[in-house]
Amino acid sequence: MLDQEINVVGIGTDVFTDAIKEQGVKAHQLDWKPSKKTEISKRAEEILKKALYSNFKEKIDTANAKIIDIMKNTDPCWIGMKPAIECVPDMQEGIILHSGPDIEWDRMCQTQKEGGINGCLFEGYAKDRDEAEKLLKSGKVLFKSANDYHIVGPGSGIATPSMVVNIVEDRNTGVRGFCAPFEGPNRGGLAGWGIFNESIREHLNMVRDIIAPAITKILTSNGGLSMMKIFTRGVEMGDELHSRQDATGLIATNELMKMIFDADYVDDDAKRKCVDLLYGTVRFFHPLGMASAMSLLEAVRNVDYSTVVTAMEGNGVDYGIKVAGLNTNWYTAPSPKIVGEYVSANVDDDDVMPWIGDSCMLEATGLGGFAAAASPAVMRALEKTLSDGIEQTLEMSNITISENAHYLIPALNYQGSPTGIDILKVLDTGIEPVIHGGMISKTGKRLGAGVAYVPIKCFENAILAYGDKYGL
Amino acid sequence: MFVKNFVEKDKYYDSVFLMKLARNLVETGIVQNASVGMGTPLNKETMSDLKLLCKEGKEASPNDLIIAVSADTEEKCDLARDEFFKLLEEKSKSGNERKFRSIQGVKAIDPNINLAIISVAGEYAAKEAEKALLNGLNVFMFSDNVPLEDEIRLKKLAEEKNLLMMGPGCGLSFINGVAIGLCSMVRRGNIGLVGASGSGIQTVMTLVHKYGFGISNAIGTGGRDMSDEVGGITMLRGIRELENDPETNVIALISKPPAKSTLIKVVEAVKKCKKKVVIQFINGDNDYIRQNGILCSESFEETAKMVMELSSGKKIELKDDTDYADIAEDEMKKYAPSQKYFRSILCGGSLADEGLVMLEKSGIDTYSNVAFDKEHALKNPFESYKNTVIDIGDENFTKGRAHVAIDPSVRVQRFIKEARDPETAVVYLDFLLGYALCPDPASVMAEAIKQEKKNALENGRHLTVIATICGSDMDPQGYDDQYQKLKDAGVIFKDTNRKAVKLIIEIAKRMEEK
Repeated sequence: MLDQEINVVGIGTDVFTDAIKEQGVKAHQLDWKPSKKTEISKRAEEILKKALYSNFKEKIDTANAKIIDIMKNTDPCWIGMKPAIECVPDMQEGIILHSGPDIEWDRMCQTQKEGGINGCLFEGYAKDRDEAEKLLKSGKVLFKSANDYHIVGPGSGIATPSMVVNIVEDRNTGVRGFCAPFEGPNRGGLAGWGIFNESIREHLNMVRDIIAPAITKILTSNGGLSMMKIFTRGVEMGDELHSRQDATGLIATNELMKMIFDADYVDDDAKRKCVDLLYGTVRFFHPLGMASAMSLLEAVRNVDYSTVVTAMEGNGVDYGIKVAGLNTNWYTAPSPKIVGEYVSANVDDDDVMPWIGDSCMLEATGLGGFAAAASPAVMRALEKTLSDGIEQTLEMSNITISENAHYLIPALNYQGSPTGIDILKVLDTGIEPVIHGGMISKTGKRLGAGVAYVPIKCFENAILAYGDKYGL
Repeated sequence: MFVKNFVEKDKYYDSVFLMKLARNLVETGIVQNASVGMGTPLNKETMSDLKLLCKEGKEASPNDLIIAVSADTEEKCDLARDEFFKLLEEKSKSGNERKFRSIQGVKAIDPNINLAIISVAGEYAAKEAEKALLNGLNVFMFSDNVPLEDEIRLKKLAEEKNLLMMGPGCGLSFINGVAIGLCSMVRRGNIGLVGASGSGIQTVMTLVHKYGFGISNAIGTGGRDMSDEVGGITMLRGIRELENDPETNVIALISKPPAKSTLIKVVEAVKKCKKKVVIQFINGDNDYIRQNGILCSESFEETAKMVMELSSGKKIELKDDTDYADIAEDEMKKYAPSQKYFRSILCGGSLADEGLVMLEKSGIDTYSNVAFDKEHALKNPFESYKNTVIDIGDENFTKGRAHVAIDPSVRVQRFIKEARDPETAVVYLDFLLGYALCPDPASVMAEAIKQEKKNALENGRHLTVIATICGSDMDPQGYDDQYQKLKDAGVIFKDTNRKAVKLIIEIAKRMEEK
């Protein structure tokens, strides 16, 4: 080191760092904070060490490189909107889906229960709430995790067989991801917040009968709407695609408007309704981002030895992750609290639901909290600065396997956003993945926006299973 | 209760940002509740739920901003609108200073970082050092209270990665012309140092500088490096680095005495070293070193002299003072009968050690919180006993606060306590200069020195204050300025620790005779 030009990073008191700077020498001061006490079990520590510092590491690196390759070549394309039963593999009558990991009826949060009951009513499985509850509790109507059906369910994440979902296909792998469209002016509606009324029924029927067939025809005739170029531009323009889709939404609208106008095979009334829906749906693009994330994460599932996270979602009670090398099992911990800014001053802290929803699948693909540096507006909304966003993104780069070739962040000199969460790195650094999201109340009302951290416990549980599976 | 909606046509703001402003608006106390948002159906419904939506708001388009407020008078509602725009303006201004939480974060922006200076509490320090090493950074660890097994693990990891692990408990290093830690700035030259003695290394550095020579690199190892357990990993690496460093032509090792097994390793390494090496192990086994044909020194001044001579091939005379006896005689005349002892209160741990060695050789019984034997250990480091040497940089004094060389207030208190003890005749203070050290240590102490000397006189006593400066004329504090401030305060000034202790011995001997 004696022949190198000194370039310092100070960790601790800034007295030393300032003294170096005073000498005209380059020095950076770390904004050091004690990391959370990440006490993990001896067994987990042992597996972690073996995985990181033995020959086994090569197998992991090879597997994770495979994933980097799939991530690099992903080419999501919006190809249509159809009722779930017509397009989602294994979807059947008598199945209702919810967000987050599987959970027994009795432990489920009220919002999700409501969603299940309202789903039954919408599908006509039950004549009233009591009957619906009995069907769900007894398992006569199956109430299952949407993730196993390749559906991203934001909020309570309700999907029933006849509800329409957006279909996004990764043209690189042919794998599809699904996500219900936002329900126009009906707040989170049935899919998002599990609520139901006549206007929601009318809206869902209208989407199924008029919008979905029209959009599918239009997309088919145009060869689909390619998503990645929109993401790339949007990230450059200030979207992190979880809390903000302003740029991506407008770029997509621009393309769609021309497609809709040119579609002489669609009648004017249907066109009008399509345009109204686009205009009236704040963040209509969000579900397309989520479906795209799913189409990618489905493609990297079941890569043996890989330590990359392929799902992370909550149901308001449990939060779970899935890992590429560990099939489709959930590794769960209590769902984390969201901390952030409220819509009004009269919100009671206790009223905020622990994390519910699948939208943080985006973070697993390098967006949302991982692309915070791309979105000064989101940072400001969270009472933070762009610098905090840069720091957050760079901190997350400590726990990922690659920089995303598609999501280039101007504030980082077009460095790619950190992508592919590695459970080993999370456990090694103690840095919990950050997720951006909306806060809702225990009764399903919109309360605000904030951030949460995926509990380290999920990763500890995953590595214990990893050790057992691979004999570490 | 009045509810009012103000609609701003075609004004766009991010919705979540507006949520925050709404909250801030309520915090002003002007309104009872507020909701601000673009006129989307969703926001209107939210406002309606909050009972904040009026006719104006209902008619707003999604491109319009609605400020919906409730307050107990209409005036307050109007006031809230103005307040909102004030808040908006405030929030739109924001600083843009970069902050990084992790080494990898800094590395992403500046891939050339190569040295981590770690001073976090001991319990966290090892983890941070490991991350630094894994990221390919050399480590300078000021933190102490790091478990020994962590030190060993980290130093082995550093070896694997071909990196320098300086510390834990490393006070200073001087590398490639940069003063690191609590370190003097000196001229660059061809004398290389490595060791675990902060103020000792600094003394040699500044002496070498004073005589027109310079330092290539000085590498701190941390106090436990020479133990059996650590085995001198950093010392051995330092020797190798200096041997391979084209800037260095002579090397000195300065340290407290090593454990036997480590001593053997170091002696073997020195015997193989292609460059000339001087060893100074304070109060160590010099016979063994000499038997192996290695040059050996017993004081910092001797070390400085030897390396300068080896470097230049010329004889160097270090000037000594001639006035010790005269000063001692002079001072002795002024003391009251109660005044019998000296008290050294030193920031430099190695200076305390050097003094203790000299005092022991002169047969002056001295007690200390860093005594070499149990008999002379102070029962309570906060209470002096007879002739006393206090290393006030010792952890008893620094626990939970900055090192006394950075924040000297602890020493001021201790000085006053000693000065007011009727048994005290002499107080000796060292002043360390350099980067990261107290910017004006002389001024911090000068007022107390003046005051206590005066106070002693009024009480029929005479207080002798001896001072020394360990620093160079390139230090940011300004050597001459510090010297002048101490002289003005009435100290007897000696330019090295050895000279100061020599004067103390002269006085102490006369005290004993009396």
